[in-house]
Amino acid sequence: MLKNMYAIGTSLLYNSQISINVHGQNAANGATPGYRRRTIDSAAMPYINIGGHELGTGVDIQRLCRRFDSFLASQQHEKGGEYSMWEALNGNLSAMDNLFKDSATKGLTKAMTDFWGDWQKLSENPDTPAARTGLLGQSKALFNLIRSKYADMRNQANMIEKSIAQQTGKANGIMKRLAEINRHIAERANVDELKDERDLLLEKLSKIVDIKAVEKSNNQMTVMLRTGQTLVSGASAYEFKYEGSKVVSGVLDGSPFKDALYFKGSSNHEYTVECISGGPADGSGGAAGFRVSIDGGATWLKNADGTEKTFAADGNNGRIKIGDVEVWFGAAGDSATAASTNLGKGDKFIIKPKSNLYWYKNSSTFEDVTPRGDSMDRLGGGSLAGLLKARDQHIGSYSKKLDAFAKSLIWEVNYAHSQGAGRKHFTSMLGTYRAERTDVPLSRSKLAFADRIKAGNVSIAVYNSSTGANVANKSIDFSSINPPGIASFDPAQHSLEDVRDAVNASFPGQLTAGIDNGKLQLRAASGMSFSFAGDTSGLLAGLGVNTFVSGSGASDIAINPMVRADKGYICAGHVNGAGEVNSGDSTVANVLAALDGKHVFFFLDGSSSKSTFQQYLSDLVASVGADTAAADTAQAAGKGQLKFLNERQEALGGVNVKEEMIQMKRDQQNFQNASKMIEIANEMFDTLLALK
Amino acid sequence: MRISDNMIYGATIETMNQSLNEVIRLGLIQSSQKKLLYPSDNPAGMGTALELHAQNGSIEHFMENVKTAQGWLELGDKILGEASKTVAKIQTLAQQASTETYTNEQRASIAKQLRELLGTLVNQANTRFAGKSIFAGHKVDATAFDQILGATVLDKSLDDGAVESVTGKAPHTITVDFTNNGVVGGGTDLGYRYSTDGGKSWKNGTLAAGRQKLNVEGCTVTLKNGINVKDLNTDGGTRINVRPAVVYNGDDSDGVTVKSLNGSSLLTTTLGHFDQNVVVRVDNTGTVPGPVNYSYSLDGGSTWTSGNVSSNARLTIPGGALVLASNAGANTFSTGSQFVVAPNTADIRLSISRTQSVTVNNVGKDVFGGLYRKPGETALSKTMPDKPDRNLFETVAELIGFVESNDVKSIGKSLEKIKTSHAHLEGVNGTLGARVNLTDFVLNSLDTRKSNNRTYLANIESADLATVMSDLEKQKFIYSSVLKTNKDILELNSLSIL
Repeated sequence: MLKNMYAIGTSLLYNSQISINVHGQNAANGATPGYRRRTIDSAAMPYINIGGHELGTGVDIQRLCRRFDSFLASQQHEKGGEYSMWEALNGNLSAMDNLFKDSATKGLTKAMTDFWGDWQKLSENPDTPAARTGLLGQSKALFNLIRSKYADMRNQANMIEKSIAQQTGKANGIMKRLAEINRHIAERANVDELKDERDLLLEKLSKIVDIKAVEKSNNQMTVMLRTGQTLVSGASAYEFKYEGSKVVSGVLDGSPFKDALYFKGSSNHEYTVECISGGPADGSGGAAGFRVSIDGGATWLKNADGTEKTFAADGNNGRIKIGDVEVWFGAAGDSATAASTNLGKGDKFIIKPKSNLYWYKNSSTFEDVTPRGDSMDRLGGGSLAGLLKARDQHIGSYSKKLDAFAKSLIWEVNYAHSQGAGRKHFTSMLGTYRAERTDVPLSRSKLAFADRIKAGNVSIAVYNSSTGANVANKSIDFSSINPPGIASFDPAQHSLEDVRDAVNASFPGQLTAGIDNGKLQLRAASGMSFSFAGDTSGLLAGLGVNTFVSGSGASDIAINPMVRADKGYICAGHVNGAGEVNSGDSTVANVLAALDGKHVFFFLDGSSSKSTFQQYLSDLVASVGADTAAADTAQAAGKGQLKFLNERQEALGGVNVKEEMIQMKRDQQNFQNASKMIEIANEMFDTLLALK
Repeated sequence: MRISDNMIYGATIETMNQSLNEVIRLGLIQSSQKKLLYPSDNPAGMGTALELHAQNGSIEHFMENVKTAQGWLELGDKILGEASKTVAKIQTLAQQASTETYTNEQRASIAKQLRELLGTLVNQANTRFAGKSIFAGHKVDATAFDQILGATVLDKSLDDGAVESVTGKAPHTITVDFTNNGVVGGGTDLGYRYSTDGGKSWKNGTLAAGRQKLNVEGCTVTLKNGINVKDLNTDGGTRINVRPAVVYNGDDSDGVTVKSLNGSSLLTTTLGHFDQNVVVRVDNTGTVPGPVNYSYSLDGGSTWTSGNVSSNARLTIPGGALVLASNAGANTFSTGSQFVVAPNTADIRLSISRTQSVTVNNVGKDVFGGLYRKPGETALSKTMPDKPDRNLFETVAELIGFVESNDVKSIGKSLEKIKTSHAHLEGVNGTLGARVNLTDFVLNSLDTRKSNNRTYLANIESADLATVMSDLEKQKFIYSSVLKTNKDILELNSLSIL
């Protein structure tokens, strides 16, 4: 019986030491990241029957409990992923928001309003150099601003690329360590320490990609993406790779096609190419036909009249422009050689003209997890999703809109400007746009604005330089170009070489046309000079002849070097019915100033819209603002929800040092009590021993 | 709920940050006085704000244009008012000179004054605004009018066109009377007499056979070949007054050229008055008179208005119509044929609103008359050929000729002409005055719109300073309370109580 007393006291002595250790450890690690407090589960030791009575034998520690709620944890992962995605997105969108701050007083709106205003000033004083100097200065400011905003957007996109690469590396590192932990946990008995590390790593990983973590019965944690791809399973970890642009081939098994599809250019879209009628892919007769989708096959690109757009397969010489990329078929391994096999119906290719995030199952099996539109089968949370969405759906879209804005600005200004005449006639002039091919119809020559040139007529007025008399004022006659032998210019039939030949045939002894590195060159005969007297086709604007702006979009919009060097070539007036260009004529300056309020076309992603320049710009700024505001709101909402979950987990497993101190006080008390108990038992034994 | 230490520290930091963020945000609004700084503050509002700023920007430019236009127009208005007074003086003098009782000496004195007044009129017509001629059309660098010599032909069957040109200088009218009947440039010599003192004394001269040029006192008068001249006693004779004339050097807006851009050989004419180029495109194939389907463009082919049909080959376009007709058997038109209707332009137009512009200058020859060399021609011709009585400069110039040659009957005929040309001048003056009124009205209306936009903008953009300042004070107070509370919590959290 006394022996039992000793046992009871000893058990308490023993347990209180363990307890004080545990609570001391809790108190010491209160601030350690990922540490969850341990509590002690004790229970009474088994009872024994002595003399028909149930007597206890002390207290026993059943186990140390790590206070952690894995159900809460999986909710935290979900909300954490969502929050991190909005945080990453919002961070980048705020940068764009900042780019358009003060647009009305210092930014694009102000610069553009002043630009139109300077054309108004020129129309008031078409004969004074001061008005021209002012216009050049303001134009330079506007074009610089467009280029710099575009460059800032591209820079932001580049920074995102770096962040994505870094986060991918971080995710891969975490996944590897998780697999290692799984292995250690399988080998060892004391696993709580590893579980702390594991749960902390899972929390970090959930902020990078949206995960679902499931603990198996043997403490092994399986981690998957919410879309199902396994990241960690047992002791193996899979991998993410952030890779550059590529083509994913989906050629059907029975298809005769053994060559490849190539592309050039970059875009924030993926293009799905599907062959709808088999045939050769080298540009020969009966070429295979294909259709294109930018949303993974949900809808296909359409013509202006609503019918599905069909493209004819061609080789390197006949590259087809689709959106932002040029596509062609070539021999496997050699893009310059034509494909020798035919495409089969149903052959699919997915063109990924941008860097994407891939989940690799093994070295040959991979899946693209980059977010695409609202697709549910791609990454949906985590900072990687946020960064990729920012790059593709937002910044990619804003920079394309700005580019579309710049393209229309360049075209409309140049079209109107090329109708006019300046303060002096030309003796020679070189176009600013280069045709890649001078022997194919201009619509296929890869000129920057080839798709805006229409059929029409270009008129030139030739003057005697010394008397100023008008010796010719007529349109370029293309009838000598046979085929097709028509008088008007047609970009679908006439090449740059044809333009050169037609000019030479129409103005013999007055003008000589030539081609210099793909650009049109015009020279007046000695003693002569020329100006342009009207263009209903847009050929002049398309070749960069008699234009005000050079460049093909927001990245390189600038003043035409010819005009910058001599402001006398700024066209305020025009060649009037009598063949004169008068100093007080401000017809063209007025047209340019009125572009301010003209509804013009903007082309984006294969569709067109019509509005004024300011409306388009306002729309762009408003969409940046709306996207940022939405991300901001979502981030704040997500933060609130995540905070709630975090607090509940923290309430369960977080350390309160005072609480631990109080527990330790109790343990100290227990220890003293236990000692007292043993002392009492000792004294009782002594008493027993003293019995004679 | 159980509270862990992390929660206490976390909550402390978070409440402090939240409060501080709000203080900073309000501070930004206060210093910029705008509540709309970033597009995300109010996306739709930002879009509207940008539009309003742009609108106000363009309104300011229009207002500048209006003020410039007013400068031009007010000057023109004033000058024409003064010119009208000058013409009134000329009228009075002409009235006096037509009195039969006046002596030649009195007329000579009147003629001197008339020459001065003609000079004044020419100076007034050459007025410049900011260095630009206001009466020379687009040729703003040119001097609108110059004084030269002209001729009046008094003959029952000939008019002033019988004299092709006059060169040289003549301080006084030279009166030439033919003394033989004959044909200029014909087979016989033609005799004539001329006077440079109003008929007091005469000299003789001969126009050799086959020649057209008369030389008198340093002037050369070139006559038209083949005209019949009469001597003094035959049917009133043929008299030529070599007198001052005024030539117009500026721009005109008379002609319209139609260019066929791609080789159509149809005959083209126009109806109406155009003030800008119009490109016309035929959209079907057929034979004149049609029906013709066509489109037209006012911006050089950038945008087209299509769906027009004409059943009689008269294609209605802004400004008038383009008429197609068969040309020596060629009477077909085909899809794609393009024509440009290109008017001679001379108006300087300033935009005073999105939809309105005002012409600020004038074509001098249509106001004052005079002589003009049409583009493409070598000879001078009289302006205003369909309403010759409005031709002020020619009327005054020939009046000087009549006064200096003491031709009372012709002076009398001039009186009506001067009245007509004076009325025309006043008519133009009235038009300019009306334009000035229009610009005043437009200026007011632009100003009102600008104000309205500003008010609307203020609602969207501007912060109410009083509210912001009180909010900021409140938030600063909240921030300092938060800091104090946190300090207390942290102190309480220490172990000192244990």
